[in-house]
Formats: sequence, structure tokens, C-alpha cells
Amino acid sequence: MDEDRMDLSPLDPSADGARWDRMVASVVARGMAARVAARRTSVADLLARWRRPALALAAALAIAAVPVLLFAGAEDEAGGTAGSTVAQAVVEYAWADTTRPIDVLDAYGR
Amino acid sequence: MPSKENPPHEAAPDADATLVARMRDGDREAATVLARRYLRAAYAVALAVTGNRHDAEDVAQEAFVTAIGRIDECRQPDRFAGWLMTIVRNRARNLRTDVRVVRADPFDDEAAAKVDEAQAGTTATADPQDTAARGELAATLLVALATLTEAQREVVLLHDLQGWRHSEIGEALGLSEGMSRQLLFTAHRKLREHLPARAFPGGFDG
Repeated sequence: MDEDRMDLSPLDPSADGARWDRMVASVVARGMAARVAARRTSVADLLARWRRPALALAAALAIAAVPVLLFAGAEDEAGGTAGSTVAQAVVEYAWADTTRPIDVLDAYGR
Repeated sequence: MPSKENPPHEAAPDADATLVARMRDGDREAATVLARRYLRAAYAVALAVTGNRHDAEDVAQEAFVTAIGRIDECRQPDRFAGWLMTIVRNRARNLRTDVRVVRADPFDDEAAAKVDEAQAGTTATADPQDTAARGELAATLLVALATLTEAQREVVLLHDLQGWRHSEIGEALGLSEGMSRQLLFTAHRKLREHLPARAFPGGFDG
């Protein structure tokens, strides 16, 4: 096999050393900037990838909560619960100047 | 003259894998070392595909920018060169496809090559006569290279311009060392038919 090397120096882009150095510096600067941009994008991609599962989970929780809320509502109608009474007292305190804070505390104590 | 500046894996103080790891941590110096080591090889592969020096420079630069930007996707850091050359080839082939829309294959177009060289001469700072002579030589070389297959051009440019050994060429291009030798042998034989003997300073007798 022949191992002679042809003289391809007229095609050598690094023959002009200063120009080649500028080219290398430019490539590195642009590459590092692209890398920073790619990392930012990857964080955004990560969030975007998790958006669908997060929405699906929220929807599943909402669906699962429906029977619980219905059951709680039925209990309220039947005799009321401590939770609803406390909420009622807090709402009354917030809206009416006449309700004293002590009434709210009484409600919690019940 | 073939340059042996920074052949891969050996002359540089740091291995590719180490430099890639440092680059992933944002080390600009590591990126610079890799660019000095492989940018000209990237140019050689791009030139093998596009046949145009300016296009090859653009492709090599853009491919390297992409490689740095996506360095996390380099799964085998010790084979950075091969990964980079794949990016270069793809970009160069895309460009070649685009260029063909407006002109013939540049490797088949001697006139295009000479225009290319004439344009290059207007930007050089060296002696105009010397620049013109080099431009003419470059055009002659491009026309001769056009007689080769793309694989032959890649090997001959990496071997004769970049100064790589067959083992290094094989690793970067995904070839066996023997195939690299065979491609170079065939390429040189074809080039001898199209170039003056002075293009082979090592000497050959045809």
C-alpha cells in the first residue's frame, strides 16, 4: 500500500494562522452560548413533559374527590358536621361586625 | 505539507473523554482544545462532501457549534471524533442537497471551483501572485478530488491534509483500518492520473 502524502496545503484552512485562531474562538464562543441555551431549553422541556402527567393527576384527584364531597354533603344535610359549623362561624365572623371572635373560638371548641 | 498538529488521542495532554467531561461542566478551555484538535478534520470531511472550501468551512463551524451545544448527547465521550464527523457529514449532505437545487454538483463543476478560488484570492493578505497561484492549485486539487468517491475523498483529506493515521481515520469514519488503507491507495492511484508529480512530495513514479 502506498503511504505517500499528497501536498494538499492549498486546501488547508489553517494556513492563515490568525484567521484560523479567530475561527476557533468564534466556534467555541458560539458553541458555549448554544450549550447554555440548550440547557435552558431542556429545563423548559422537562417542565413541559411533566405538564400532562400533572394535569392528569389533578383530574384524577378531582374525580376521586367527587364521591367524598358528595358523602360529606349528605352528612351535612343529615345533621351537620364539626367542619361545616366551624366554617360557618368563620364566614359569619368575616362578614358581620357583630360576631365576636369568641364565638368563632366557641365553634372550634365544639 | 500535511500538518500533524494535534493528532487525536496522543499528542494532546488530555484525552477526548476528559475534555468532553470538562466541556459538559462549562469549561471553555476544554472546548477550545477540542476545537483545535478536530475543527480541521471536520473541515476535511465537509470538503469531501461539499467540494467547496467556503461551504466546508461553514459546515465545519456550524457542526462544531452544534456539537458543543449538544455535548450532553455524546454518549461515548471517548469517541467524540466519530460523533462529530457524523454531525459534519449530515450537515454537509443537507447543504449539498440544497446547493444542487441551484447548481450542479460542485465537485463536477470545474468552473465553480475556479470562481471559488478567485473569490478566495480577493480576501487573502499574502502576496497576490502567490495567492493566485495557490488558488489555482487549490482549484486543480478540487477538480482532481472530484474524480474520487466521497469515501475516498474523506480518507485522502484526513490522511494527507489532516495528517491522521489509518487507525484514527477508521475510528472517526467507522471504517476498518484496512478499508482506510485500501481507499487511500485507490484514491492516490486515481489522483496520480489527474495531478502533476509535484503534488506527491514523498515521490511516486506513476
